[in-house]
Amino acid sequence: MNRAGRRGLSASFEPWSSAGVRRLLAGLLLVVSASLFACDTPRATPDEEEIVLWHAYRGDERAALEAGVAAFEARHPKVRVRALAVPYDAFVDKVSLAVPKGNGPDVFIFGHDRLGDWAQRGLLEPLGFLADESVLDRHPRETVDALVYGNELYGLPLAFKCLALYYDKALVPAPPATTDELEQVARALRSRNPAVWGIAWELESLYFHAPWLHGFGGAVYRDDADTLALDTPEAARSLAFVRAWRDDARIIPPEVTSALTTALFRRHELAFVVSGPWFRAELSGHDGWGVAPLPVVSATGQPARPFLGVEGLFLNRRSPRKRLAFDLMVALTGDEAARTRFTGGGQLVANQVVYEDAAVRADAFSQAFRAQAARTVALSNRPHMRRIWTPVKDALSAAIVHGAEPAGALKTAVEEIARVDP
Amino acid sequence: MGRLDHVFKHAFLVVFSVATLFPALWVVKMAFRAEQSFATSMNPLPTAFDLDNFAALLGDALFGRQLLNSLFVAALTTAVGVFLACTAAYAFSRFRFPGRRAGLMFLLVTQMFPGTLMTIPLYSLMEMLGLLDALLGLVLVYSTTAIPFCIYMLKGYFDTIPRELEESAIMDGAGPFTLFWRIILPLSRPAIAVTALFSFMTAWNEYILAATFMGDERAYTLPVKVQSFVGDYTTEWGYFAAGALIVSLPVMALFFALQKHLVGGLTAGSVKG
Amino acid sequence: MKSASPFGFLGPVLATIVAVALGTFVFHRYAAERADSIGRARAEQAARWLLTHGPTGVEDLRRSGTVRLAGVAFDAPPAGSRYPYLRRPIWLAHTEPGKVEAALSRDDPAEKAAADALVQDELVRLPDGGYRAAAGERLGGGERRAAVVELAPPQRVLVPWPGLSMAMLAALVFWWDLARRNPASRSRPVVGALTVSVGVLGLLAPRLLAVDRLEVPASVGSADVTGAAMLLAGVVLAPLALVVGTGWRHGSRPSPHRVAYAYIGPALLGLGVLVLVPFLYGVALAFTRASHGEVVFVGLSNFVDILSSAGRSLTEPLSFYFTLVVTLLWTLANVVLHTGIGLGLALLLKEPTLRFKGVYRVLLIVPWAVPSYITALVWKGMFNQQYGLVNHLLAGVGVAPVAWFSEFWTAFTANVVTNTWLGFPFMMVVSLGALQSIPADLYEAAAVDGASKWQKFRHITMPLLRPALVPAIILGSVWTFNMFNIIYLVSGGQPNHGTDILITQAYRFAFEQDRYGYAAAYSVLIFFILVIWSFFTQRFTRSEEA
Repeated sequence: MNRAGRRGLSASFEPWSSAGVRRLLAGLLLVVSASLFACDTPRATPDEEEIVLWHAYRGDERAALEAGVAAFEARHPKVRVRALAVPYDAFVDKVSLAVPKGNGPDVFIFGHDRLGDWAQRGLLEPLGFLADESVLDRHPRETVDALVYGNELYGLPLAFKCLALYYDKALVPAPPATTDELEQVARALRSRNPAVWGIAWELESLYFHAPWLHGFGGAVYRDDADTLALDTPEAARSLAFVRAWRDDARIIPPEVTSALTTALFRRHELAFVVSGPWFRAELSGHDGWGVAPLPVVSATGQPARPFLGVEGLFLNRRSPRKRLAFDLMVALTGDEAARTRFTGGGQLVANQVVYEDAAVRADAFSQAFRAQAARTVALSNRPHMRRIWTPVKDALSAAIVHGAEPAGALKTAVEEIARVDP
Repeated sequence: MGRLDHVFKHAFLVVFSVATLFPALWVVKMAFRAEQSFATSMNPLPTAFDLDNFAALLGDALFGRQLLNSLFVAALTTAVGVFLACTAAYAFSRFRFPGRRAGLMFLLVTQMFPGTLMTIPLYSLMEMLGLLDALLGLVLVYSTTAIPFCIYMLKGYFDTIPRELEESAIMDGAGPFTLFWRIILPLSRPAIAVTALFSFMTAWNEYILAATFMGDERAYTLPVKVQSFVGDYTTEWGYFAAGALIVSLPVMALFFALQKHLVGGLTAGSVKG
Repeated sequence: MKSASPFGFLGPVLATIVAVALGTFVFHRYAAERADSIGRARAEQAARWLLTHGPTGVEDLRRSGTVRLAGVAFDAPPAGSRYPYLRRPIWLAHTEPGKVEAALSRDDPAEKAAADALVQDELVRLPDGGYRAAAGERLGGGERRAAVVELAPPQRVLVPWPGLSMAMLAALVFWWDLARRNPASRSRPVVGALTVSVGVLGLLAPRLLAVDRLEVPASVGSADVTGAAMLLAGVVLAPLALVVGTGWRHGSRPSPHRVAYAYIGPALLGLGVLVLVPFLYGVALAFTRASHGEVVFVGLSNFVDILSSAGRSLTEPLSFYFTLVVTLLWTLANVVLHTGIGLGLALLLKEPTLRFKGVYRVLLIVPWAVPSYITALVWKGMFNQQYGLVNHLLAGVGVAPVAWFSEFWTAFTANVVTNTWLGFPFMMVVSLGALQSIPADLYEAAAVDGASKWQKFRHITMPLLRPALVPAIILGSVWTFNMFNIIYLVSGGQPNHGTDILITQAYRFAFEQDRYGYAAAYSVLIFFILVIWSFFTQRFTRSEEA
């Protein structure tokens, strides 16, 4: 064996002495540096101001928003607005990561349920200085109040959403006014044709169960403090009520998913659906359905009140151009932009004046939701609310689907939530 | 191999392939119909052949740019990942140096930490490096995700190549670069094909980090665009399914191209053994 | 053998010229930027000073020569508003007498700046070269205060040296390369020390030469940081590159290990930074708890809580140990199925005389190619109790419809089936590649000896497959252990968190309950479990290091 073999291969290596390696490295360096420049994204020119807006809209809603943005840019020639559409899944993380570091947008659009969390962490700018009464008077009071946390206003409302009752006009000629009526109609339909179901909604979600919870006199929070009011007899009654509809009257399908609900409703095999304005998109191309406010709970005489969700525009506390960004916010929540968002984007806008328009008065869909919005309970925006969803989901699942005793299930949920609290 | 054997094998493969394709057929079905709801029927065969979803996706102004972004990121990840993995695997396989075993352990250990909370520190890191909102930052993260497997796979493969080959080449006067390029790499083509495909896949389908780090839609990659059809209450399944199919095509094409390397085999039996 | 430097003798000369040109360019840009940043810093400092000193500070500043204007403003709620959270700005004190406790006008630019400062800090360069800074702060109870200060233009422009020093450093490095090609040269350490000190001097020079009227230390501008970073990079990287390039050490034997380190260096460095840093962050987070927006250190209490199952019985689904067992079962089932199916298919497909192999291979890779988000949900739909395909098929053979997500074992099976469908193509591809490392003549020799197919498999295929296949299996099992997607999308942890694995639990703690510290502790525990497990498998692979 020669000397190279005895010493092992490594000793005789001189890796950089070969011209091929150098060429390869030079080429790699060239590629890397070229790509560094290739990734440049154009920014505004120095004498222009650029406002960055993040949202999670797509399709028609997005087009309507961009129309509002274009109108604003037309009125402010030296201002450019860069609207970025972020996938919903990544939105909260993106905002929570970028804003504290100063990399976030100037303005962003999101639901109000995260408001308390963000406000507490100092990400949002209170709008008390920037707004005045004329701006706030454009919107229904309940939508503005939903954007208040700790006695400070943090956003301007763009649109609202809540649950309402969709019904199949072929199966149900007129919407029911009370839950007893609904049950009667559903039972009749089922007995005539067992393939038809009465009503469906996501049974295990507190958001969808809330109408019944409030209808029976229950509530999530007892008062302004973080004390829960979920383990009350009223709440237990609401669970028992739903379970009766599912197991005794059998008007609810045993396993409900949103895909299933859509499919059944489209096949005229489902008379009622409790869902929000987004459901209309699922019914594209399908006719013969209507929307009505949720019925009154016969046992208590109170209306079923769903949660009110408000989509708002929020201002980044670290934005270097807050006044200008606020001008954009006022423009996007203005009445003209609201009309565009309503007609083009199909949003339930939070501007009172739009609902008084002649054309809008004739639109049953939006009038039904507007009427329902007056009978809602605002979804709490405090940070504590986020801990409630999963334990309550477990309680709903246990009581409604798996037959556990409602009061016990709710008590377990409340204990679980208390355990989570540090 | 008897004929009966062949028939059985074909039959089995056909049945298995069909069963494998079945769930994907629902995706095709959803892509080719105009409604945006999720398909719940039991029959996965497409009934309509509406091209609306595809038209909407392909006609989007930024589609071309986003496709290029994806290709750029994935190609660069593959190049960087395979290159770095080849050299590192070669060192692990051929040299005995202090820290070798620790290095291999380290590679394995890097895969073990759950990534759920990694976004926060990764974001800070990217910001410090100034690579936020740059596709190069994504390439960096994806490469480091893909490299451990690549090194392990290539090392395992290099281990099976006998050293006598290299030694005889050195006796003939080959330099280290020639050694690497002309002898080791051709014999490891299957392993390189696997690692290239894996690196590509790691980079191609990832959307969470891409959506979080990029600040401009022109810098988005395709999976981010496809994922943007998922909303808080509803998802536009027609567009999503069409997007999913479009996103799968380059992968299939890459696999098709790499196949001959994957199963290329050794033309001359005298090279080994 | 003498090895040449890349460009020969001209190299260092060219490099020097380039470096000086670059340095001059940087110098010019830097000088103007530096002067501006000093002026801005001073104005901002003055505004902040005034904010802390309040109305009395207004008088002090008026007496100082460079301050042209100063004022303090505050907020108040408008009387009788229907909205209790609206507020308006008012002057508190001003250098101009008579402007006390008056509502701020928006015509005067300084007053407008003060009003704006209640919302947003501002710093502008005035047309005559002076600076106006407005700073605001929030007091308790939602009240705000702001201060505005206008300064005359700064007197002195400083001389920045970082750019020049960087240029000189680069030149010196290249001359060093030239010098030390003579191995007997003693100048190396001297040259090195000279280089570093020039660089350090260049960085300190602005501070040593600065004279400031307001005695406010200049803040570090961004240009400083860039300059320092460039310098540091030069100081560290230049000698490192020379040292690692072993072939240039004339006449001495390069350490064999250096080559190996050079080969593995980039990969491990990148991994180290991008994985180690987040890991350390996670570990640090595991010892904390976020309470009302603040993060507090709580020591080991998170770990104690988890390991004692937080008061639950051991066999309850949300207990750590129950979830651990489920996770182990999940990993085992998946790895066995993935490897079995993948290897089996690869063996089938390696038959040289089989036709349409390519078609089969492309079809069988579809589960890997299509994004798993949608296919996982398709599988979930197939397992639907009433309208899913699986129950339909079962009904066809006479089995009653199964409520797949209501019982633990059926939900677990649904998860395993979905993940197997998604995962076997990867193992199939790896096996296909691994099978190529086995020379065909071994099989021929065995056939000559009369070995059966099973014997060939056991004695040739299996042992020779191991080196290439075992890494994939080990890594695959680690990935499966941490496979979040499928569990979350298909069964969602049903029933009642029974099919949750450790990683989905951690996710829930982090994102559904905001308990980041707890989730981090969970992650650390997951990590330790995997490390312990890998020690056991290392013994298995060590025998493969033949």
